[in-house]
Amino acid sequence: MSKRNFLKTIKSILILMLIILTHNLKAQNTPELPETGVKVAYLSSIVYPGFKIGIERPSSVIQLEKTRGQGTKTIFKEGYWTYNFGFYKHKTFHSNLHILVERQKRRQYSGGFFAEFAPGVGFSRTFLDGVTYQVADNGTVNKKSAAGYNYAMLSIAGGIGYDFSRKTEKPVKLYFKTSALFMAPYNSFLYVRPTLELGAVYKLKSFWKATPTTKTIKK
Amino acid sequence: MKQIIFSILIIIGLSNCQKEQITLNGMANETFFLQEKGSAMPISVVGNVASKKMIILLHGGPGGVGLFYRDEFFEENAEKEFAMVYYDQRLSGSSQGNSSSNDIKLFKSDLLKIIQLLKVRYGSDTKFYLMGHSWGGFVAPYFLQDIENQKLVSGWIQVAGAHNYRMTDSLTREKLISQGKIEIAANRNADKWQPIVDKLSAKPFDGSDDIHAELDKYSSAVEAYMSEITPPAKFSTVKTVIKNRISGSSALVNGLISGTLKDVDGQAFAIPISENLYKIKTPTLLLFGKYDFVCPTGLSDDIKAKIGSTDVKETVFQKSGHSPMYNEPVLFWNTLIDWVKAH
Repeated sequence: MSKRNFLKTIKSILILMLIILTHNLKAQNTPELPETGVKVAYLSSIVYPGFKIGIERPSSVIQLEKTRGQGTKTIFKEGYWTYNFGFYKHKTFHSNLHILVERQKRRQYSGGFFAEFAPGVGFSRTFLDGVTYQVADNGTVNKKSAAGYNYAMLSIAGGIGYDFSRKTEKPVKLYFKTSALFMAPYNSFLYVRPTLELGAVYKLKSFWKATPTTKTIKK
Repeated sequence: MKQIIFSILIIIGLSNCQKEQITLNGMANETFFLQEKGSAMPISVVGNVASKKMIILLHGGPGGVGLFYRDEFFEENAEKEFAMVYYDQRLSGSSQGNSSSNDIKLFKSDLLKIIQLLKVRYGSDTKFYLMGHSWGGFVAPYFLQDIENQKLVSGWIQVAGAHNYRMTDSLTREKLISQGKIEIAANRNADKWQPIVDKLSAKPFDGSDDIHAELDKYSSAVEAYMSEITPPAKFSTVKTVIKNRISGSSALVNGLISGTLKDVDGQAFAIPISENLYKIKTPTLLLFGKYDFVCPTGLSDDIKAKIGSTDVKETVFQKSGHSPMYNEPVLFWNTLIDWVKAH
């Protein structure tokens, strides 16, 4: 992806955010239980582009009510399983396709903002980004198609976001995450890939309905 | 949903189709891979391929990065005249794979296969020159001591190379002590030199490789104390990494692995290069820095005394340390280009 296209993508995401922010603002007192959502994200490793699509499915909600003076502050500790398919392309190095399952822990504030942490496990298949040759001991040169490697993958991610459904009718969350993808065995050791992720989650009412466990704790 | 996933896979598949691009005239800038014994090594050919002369850079380390050398002087000098071949050795830079062996013999056989591959891509009439820096200066003569390999190479350019590891350590120790005493007497950075001189003087050199890491640390550090060395031009690591699309994290991981888990240069102590220099009949250019503590000029003397080639030229750069191509780039490239043109 060229620098121009990259900026164009960022611009589109920012415009989308602005549209969502400026429409259908409304107060909502009773927060709904989290629902299964489909997510789409721009995934980049600093300057190398990619994307991530997936599903996040809630598995638990703990409603934490903290009484401070005369007011009560409510925080939702939400647990999700997320199922992701990711891709990035590092020109002249490799393209990486991966599937990743994350155990996402989200701290959702009633105003809409949230912070999350997500360790994950997955599988990665890379494809070398360049014509690949093998040379036999007699000097014969052959091209190898789809050359690349399989890796087991672990990831750690953390980020922040905003759930528009807390204050509006828009069933959308926007988030920004940084993560480290660990792939092994890489030269008998470990390869670490830092990534940035800017994405949106769209909650689908009729899709793979979840019934998360709920609990309320008052402090 | 199925259609979306299918479309995405088609797009990814198309974006990964690798078209073979081979530039035979004019200026090339192309990267391809050699996949060999568990490692996929990136090879970048950059510069004037019409010259039919290629300089294969053997980077330092082990665990260095070929394209990391590529500063503006490489671009403005070497690449305009000839084609530069930057490749990452196994367990180095952006070389990738599941399990790469660290057997030192593979560094030699990889190089042979790279030259065979380059001949197929760019024509059998292409001339190749090995430019080994530091650790790469071990790989080059290690490769050339096989007489059949010499037939593939038109010249050996040794840039502050460590062809004999044990001798390198011995010379480094001697130079650190002798130069250190001069600097202390002249009261130039005496506080920094004194502990180095004291420590090394107290420990006689016994030929063991235990002292190697310590000497490496001192010899790299003391260049900063020598005002005689012309400092290199400003270098931006981030800019170089991005411009050359180097995988920074791969380079870091490989640098770590090759020096620890997969000890590569430890094996070099057991390989007698000096004793086999008489076999090398290839024209040779020796480029060393006067104030190089990592690979002192005594190594150049050893090559001159023992090499089988009758065509040997030496230049010692008077204002340089371990990397004369950065300390005195104009003189360095003039010397190198004239020599390659003549060979």
